[in-house]
Amino acid sequence: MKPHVESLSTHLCILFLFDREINCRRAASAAFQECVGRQRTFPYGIEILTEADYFTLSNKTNAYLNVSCFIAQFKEYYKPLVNHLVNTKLEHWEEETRQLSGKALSVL
Amino acid sequence: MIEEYLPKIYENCFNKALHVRHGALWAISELIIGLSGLSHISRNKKLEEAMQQIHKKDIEILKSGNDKKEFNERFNQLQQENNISLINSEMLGKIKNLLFDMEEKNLFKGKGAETMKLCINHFIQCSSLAKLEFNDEYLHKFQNLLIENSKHSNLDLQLSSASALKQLCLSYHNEDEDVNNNKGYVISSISKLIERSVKDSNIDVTRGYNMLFGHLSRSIILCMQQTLLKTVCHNMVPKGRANDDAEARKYAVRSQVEIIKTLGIESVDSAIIKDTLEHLFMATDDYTLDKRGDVGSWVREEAMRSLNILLDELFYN
Repeated sequence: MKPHVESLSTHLCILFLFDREINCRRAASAAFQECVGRQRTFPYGIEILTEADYFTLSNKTNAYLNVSCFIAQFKEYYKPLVNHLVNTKLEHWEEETRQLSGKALSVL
Repeated sequence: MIEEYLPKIYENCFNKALHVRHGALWAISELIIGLSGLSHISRNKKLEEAMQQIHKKDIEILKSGNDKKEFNERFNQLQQENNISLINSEMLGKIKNLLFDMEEKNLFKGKGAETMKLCINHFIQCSSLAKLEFNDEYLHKFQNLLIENSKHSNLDLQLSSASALKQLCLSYHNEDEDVNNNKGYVISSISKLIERSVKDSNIDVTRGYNMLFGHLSRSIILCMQQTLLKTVCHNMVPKGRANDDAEARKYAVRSQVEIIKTLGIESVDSAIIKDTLEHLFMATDDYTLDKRGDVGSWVREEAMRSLNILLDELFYN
């Protein structure tokens, strides 16, 4: 599992922060929580879990503009988050998501 | 990070796909705001809007999860640092010229023009808020773009043009002497708008221009105070023409009170205040009907709101 921990953790983070669907964000957050509990090798897992939970991620704006800032303070996550916003979310089909991604980039 | 990603986002502004182009131009506007240390304004506004849709109990849960005081303090401090110098001068020059390069390639026309025009307004608003340095030629072009967008039939586009013009005026045309001596183009183009707001047969034009008047800065208004106030006052009531537009009257009502507020009620001629009050009372009696129904009610509601504001100003000053 060890070689995959870094990529798994960042991908789950991206998913629970920036996915358009509330169900996907919550599912990713639950998966992240399980992994932190079982593997204990996710970087800053506990710190992230205190901020990114079922409720804080339920609102997309809060996830994009509030929770993402907290997680971006950790070096391991900062670049993948920005990378995802620039390469994927700025080209999203939904206008609101593109606008929120722009705002999130500005805040990050 | 900026050096790595900004060129890519810049290139995407010229992409053929509308959604890529829109996302890129929007992101550049937001990055300008973020780098100039003002991202907290739009962030807080957006978060407040989002919280209005959430139940009070849920807001408390969201707030109680946000207990990282140390992080918040550090973040707030970082957020307000001006880092615009991180963009190298070559890229900054390209960004300043971005709208005109895009316009040259006809990227604001055809399908999706409305979406891109909203983006233009956003870009101008963000650049003005960040107070990027532009020469008069650029400012003149920005002003013309906003005036052009305010004539569009899409109301959202007109409203965003008006708020972008407000920011442009506040940031670049807010010093009395400067506007009088060096910025004749501002006065001459606004004067043309005043004339057309009365005579134009296109209702989108009259509506858009009446909306813009309420967003001008004090220095600009001072240069044409009497004409502007008299014209907008005249625009508040129906002129008995076939193309009279209730929405144009509604925005005229709103703008008239905004102009008086911007000037300060004490510096406006008492005859004009009297005239405004009379016209506001006339607007409360606007019972125009058309195929959409009681469109006069928009004017009446706005007149009541504006009377409230104006009487408050009169009472306390």
